[in-house]
Amino acid sequence: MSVPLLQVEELKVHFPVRGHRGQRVLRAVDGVSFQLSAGETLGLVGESGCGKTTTGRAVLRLVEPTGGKVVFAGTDVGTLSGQSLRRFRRRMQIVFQDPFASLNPRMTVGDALLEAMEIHQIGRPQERRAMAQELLVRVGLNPDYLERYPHEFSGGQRQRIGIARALAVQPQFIVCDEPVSALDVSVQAQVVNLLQDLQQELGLSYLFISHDLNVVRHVSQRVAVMYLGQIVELATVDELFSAPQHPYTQALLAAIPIPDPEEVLRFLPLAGELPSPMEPPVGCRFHPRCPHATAACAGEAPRPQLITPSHLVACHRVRQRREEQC
Amino acid sequence: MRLMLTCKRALVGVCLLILVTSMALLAPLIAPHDPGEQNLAARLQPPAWLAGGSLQHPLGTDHLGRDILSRLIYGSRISLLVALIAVAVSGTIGTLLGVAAGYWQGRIDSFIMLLADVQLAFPFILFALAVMAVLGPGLRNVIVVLGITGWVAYGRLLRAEVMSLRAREYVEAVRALGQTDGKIILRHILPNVMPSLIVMASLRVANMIIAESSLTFMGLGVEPHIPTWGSMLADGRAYITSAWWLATFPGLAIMLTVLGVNLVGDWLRTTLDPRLRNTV
Amino acid sequence: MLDILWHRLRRALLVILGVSLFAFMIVHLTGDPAVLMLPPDATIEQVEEFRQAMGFNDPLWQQYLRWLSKAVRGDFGLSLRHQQPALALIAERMPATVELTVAALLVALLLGIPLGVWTGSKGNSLPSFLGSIFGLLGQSMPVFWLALMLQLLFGLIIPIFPLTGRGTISQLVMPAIALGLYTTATIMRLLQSQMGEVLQQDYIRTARSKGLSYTRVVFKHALRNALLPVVTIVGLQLGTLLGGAVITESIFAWPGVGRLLVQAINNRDIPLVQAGVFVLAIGIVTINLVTDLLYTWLDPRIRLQR
Repeated sequence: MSVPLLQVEELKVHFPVRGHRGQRVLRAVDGVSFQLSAGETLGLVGESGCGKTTTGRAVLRLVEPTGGKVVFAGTDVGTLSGQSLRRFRRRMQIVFQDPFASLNPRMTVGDALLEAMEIHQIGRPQERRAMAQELLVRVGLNPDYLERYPHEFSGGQRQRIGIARALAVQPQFIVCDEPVSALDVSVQAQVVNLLQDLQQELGLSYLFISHDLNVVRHVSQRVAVMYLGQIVELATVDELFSAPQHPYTQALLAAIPIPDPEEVLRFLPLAGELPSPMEPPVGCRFHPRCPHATAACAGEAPRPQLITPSHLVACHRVRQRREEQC
Repeated sequence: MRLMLTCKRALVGVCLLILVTSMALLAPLIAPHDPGEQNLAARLQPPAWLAGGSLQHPLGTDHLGRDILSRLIYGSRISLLVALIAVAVSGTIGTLLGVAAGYWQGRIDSFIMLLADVQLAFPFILFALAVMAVLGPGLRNVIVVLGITGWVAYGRLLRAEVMSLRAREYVEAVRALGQTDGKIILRHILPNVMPSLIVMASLRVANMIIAESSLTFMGLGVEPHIPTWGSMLADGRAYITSAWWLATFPGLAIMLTVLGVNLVGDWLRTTLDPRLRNTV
Repeated sequence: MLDILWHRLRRALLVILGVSLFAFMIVHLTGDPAVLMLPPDATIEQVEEFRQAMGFNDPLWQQYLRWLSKAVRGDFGLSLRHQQPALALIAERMPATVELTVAALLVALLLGIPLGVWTGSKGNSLPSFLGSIFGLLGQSMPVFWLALMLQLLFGLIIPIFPLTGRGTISQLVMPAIALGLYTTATIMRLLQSQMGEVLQQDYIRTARSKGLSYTRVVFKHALRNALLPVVTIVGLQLGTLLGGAVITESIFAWPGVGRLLVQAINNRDIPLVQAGVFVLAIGIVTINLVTDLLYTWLDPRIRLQR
């Protein structure tokens, strides 16, 4: 593997929460590391509230990381500020989940696209309208839509506009934050295909955040599974879906409706509820819900370990079994 | 049904406001007398419909023989002028502080909200009176005091609105594009808080009219030689036992103007901003 | 609960510190407090002597710290006019103001709640229409004019109540109504719209369909839910009432803090004004703190949020 485009090391995002009990800390992201090469798609999955969305925002510095490092194309994003950060933003973009909230209701599609180009002075002013029309064509929309307002479009169309806006600044990397979860199933496939086509044409890299394992499996080369602010398993799509190692991944996979009857997995119900990220369990964060938990799991947090060159797992049981085998 | 009802009320409110505004604008044309013209021979004349009244002075005269109707008409100018400028000043300050608090949050927000709490802790009239006493009475000082102290209502409202807008994905998208904070606020936040701002400003006009007349009534507002509803009431207070009309008409004028503003404000609230419907 | 208490208490103390700064600054607004406090015919020597005696030549922050450290111990200096400790003068007048404020609040509650419930549960009818008019007028009337009109109507034309003064119950009636009417109208309007909304809710219809009488539904189910916002309003309004008392007291010659302070303002009796503003502000902060805690304690939704 060449030098990765994006390198995330021990990323942490802690929010101070001022509740009725005084100041407390919500550990939304608590030590997340991964890499992404040019042209690659990394899927990031987990239940809602596991910190996957915050991870995406922190990589782009839309929320300030509390700790860790994000290196993009050799630049430590954390050291940038003010003007230099704003200039750098051109290279990393985001597509949001809610197509109804992600466009300013008072701006036409054209204004939104032109604004993006103006910020980074892309093209000459008189060329920008034509460029905006090209962008619309590129995302599969009629170029005449430039003068229209967001409320005139369907969810799928809006999502295409959101993608066009991200493309307007010619980024190398896009965080796709649940880009299809708010759409109808029939529209989902179209938007997913569009994203894949654009990746082919423009050589984009995606961090594809979703709770929908079927979509993630379809678009990603590698997949990371998050639980309570940490990555518990990270592997290539094939390895993760054919041989999931972490009990949480196994449970997640068991919960999805599976179109292929050959792949029926043993059903692993999860006991209990998702604990609060303000008071994560000591030791392995999954141990209170884990069907295989032992006393050791409540003691020390398991370190992520490579079980094959492309398969990382953080679980005591997996480590023990491997040690026994050796 | 509810909307229909506020609609009819709004019509009443609009009529009242048109009446007051035209009084203010056309004062020299429609006032029967000069508001300062004294006529000691015709002191304390009752309104025309009472014994001793004359059509010369339809609403009677005051203790210096000045025509009450003419003073009422000219008084509307001060009430509207002070209220509108004070609302503009306090609205601007409140918007700046509220947007800053809601957009940047953190320490700036804590400080601005502390300032708001401090100001709300003061009994407003007392504080305004004390400041007026130190600065000295006068039209300009009334506007300064009301303008500077009136920001809290806007500040709190806008802070909450901006906080929720800032968390919207479209604002985040523009931030991700690398837009500057200033342009994000100007293009994406301010246009979307405009409806609430307009509603709040319209309702605050009523408060300002009452506040100005209260200060003037207490003798620490607009200079006494300028005809205002507040000073007419203050003059009339001494004659409440013998000449009731002195204090009655200016009060009615204040009440009807404030009523008009409130009716229109209520209507704006229900049409422009459904979220504000339940605040009284 | 203890954490909440501590957090709110800290905030209240911070607010009071801010209040003290503003109260202190009143005197320095024009730049020369000595000229402000002395009569206009004072000689230059007298002004300079006064300046020395009051320490007005020291840096502003030193003066503030000195003033604050004394204020904390209840020493706001002597009233220039009465030549007595300012705080004692205020304490002496406080009972009258509290009496008036409480009476006004009682008027507002005893009038506003039944009126609001009654007009709010009637749908679109004459009572509801008249209620709306009363509410709108009540909120549009300036206190001082209402006070004068009450004096005119019930003191002169139909003389049932004495015009001014304090001592008997009948002397309390008009000031209490004058001060309380705005709050009455506010509570009434709020309840009217709340009741209207609550009565539209599904659970009320369910209760009705189970055969409960309308009156029972109104009182047992709707009122309870409609009253919660009123609690918040009452807390906020107490502050407004305390402020409004300034004007009401002046008109009815009610010997309370408000009237004392208006006189002090007219006499440029700055130490007394500072003490009064500060004490009233502390009162308002305390009231807000108490209602805040009360509300947290009353509303199970807030209490469970942790």
